[in-house]
Amino acid sequence: MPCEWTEKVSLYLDDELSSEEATAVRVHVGTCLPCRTAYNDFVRLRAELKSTPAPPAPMVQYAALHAILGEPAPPWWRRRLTIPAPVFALTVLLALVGGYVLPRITNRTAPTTSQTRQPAMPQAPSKPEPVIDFSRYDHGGRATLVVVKKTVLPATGARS
Amino acid sequence: MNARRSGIAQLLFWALAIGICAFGLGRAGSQPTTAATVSRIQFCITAIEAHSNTPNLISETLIEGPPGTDFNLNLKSKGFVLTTRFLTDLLPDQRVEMRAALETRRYLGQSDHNLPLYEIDTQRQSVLVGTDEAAVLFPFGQEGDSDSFKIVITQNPIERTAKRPMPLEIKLVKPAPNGEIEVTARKIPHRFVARLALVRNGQTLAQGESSCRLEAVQEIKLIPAGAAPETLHQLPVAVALTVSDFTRSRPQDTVGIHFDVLQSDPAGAVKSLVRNGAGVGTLGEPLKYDLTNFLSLPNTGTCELIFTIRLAEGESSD
Repeated sequence: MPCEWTEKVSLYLDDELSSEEATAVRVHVGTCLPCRTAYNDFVRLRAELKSTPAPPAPMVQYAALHAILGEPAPPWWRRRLTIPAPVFALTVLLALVGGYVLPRITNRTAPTTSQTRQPAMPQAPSKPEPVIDFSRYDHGGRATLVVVKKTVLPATGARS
Repeated sequence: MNARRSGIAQLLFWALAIGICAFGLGRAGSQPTTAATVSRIQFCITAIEAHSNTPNLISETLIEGPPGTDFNLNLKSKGFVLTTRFLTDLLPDQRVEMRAALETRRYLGQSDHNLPLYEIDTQRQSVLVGTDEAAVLFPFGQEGDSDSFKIVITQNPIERTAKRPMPLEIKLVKPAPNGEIEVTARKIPHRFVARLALVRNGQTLAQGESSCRLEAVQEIKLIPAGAAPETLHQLPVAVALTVSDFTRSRPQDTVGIHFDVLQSDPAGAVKSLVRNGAGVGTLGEPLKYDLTNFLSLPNTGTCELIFTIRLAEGESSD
């Protein structure tokens, strides 16, 4: 015949009773045979649970499963990727649009205006260029524009 | 149900993919694939110093663009600045007319108040340069040949084959050591048609029309109309007009004008009714000036001089 204190025995083992209740349970277990039997059963069950090894990790289980089935995991380049069809369609669509638009954007980098400025000066050389002293040519004369035959020009290596 | 959805998605995908491919092919097909011959003009600008009769190339710049390409050439050195603007026009005989505006600014010293003094000289010159010739600019004047500095400009009309409009190009073959010489280039319209009308109370009294070149003075006589008072027949009015500038703008391009209004008497004497008039207006749109106080006309009302400037045939603002 089960005793009404049996549940308190379980709570006692779980250390969930106050000190007064725990003292009362201890006294009761010493005098009640069903409760003492339950107490012994609970203690033995806990000892068995503690001695049981923990279950293996999922990856270990996976490897063990493949070891049992005898099929090694395929290399990454042979694995199949499963994606929804709309995602695949959207990916290809974006690739096509990108391939169509990108060349046209890069083509626009060519100058389109009819006003062009002189290209930027090249990077400064490591050895500074000598400063041209134009003042030695300045005798206070007025700027002049004349036309001459190319043949009278000195050869300078220019492309004229 | 899932199989049906997947089928619809695939159908949608292929429809879009094929549509895009077709659009791309259509665009590619619409591009001009036939090459055309394009007239171009090349300018080679070289700066040369001749020290003790030994020429030395200081800088070289190549410009290539459509006929009518203009360029600016600036020289900066200690105490001296040269600013030039060259308007060029290719003539049928392959010569190039260069209209140059030159300005020099030379440091002379300091005033009694310790302010810098400059000698500023502005001049305009026009030269014709053949393919076997060169325009030579002496920034400091042409004095002696042993020690001189000059900038030589040669031109070369060429034809190129191209599938699409070719841009203006500047190639800096040899830059000046410290950037003393700067070259810029642009292409803007040079030829315009100016239509002038003298209007009183909405009625045209006189009008005239003429072609104009950029930065060139053009005298346009206003021919009296039927409603013109006798004064305009006896004392005809003319306008000395200069289209001074063209500016690309949005929504429409603009032109700048300078003008004098002249009136001549039967004896041939000319007096200015308006001097140094100026303004900026939209290309092709009327630009109005109230001349009521300048014209001595009977039955006075509001008398306006209306300018309408448009591009000449064959010119393009692009």
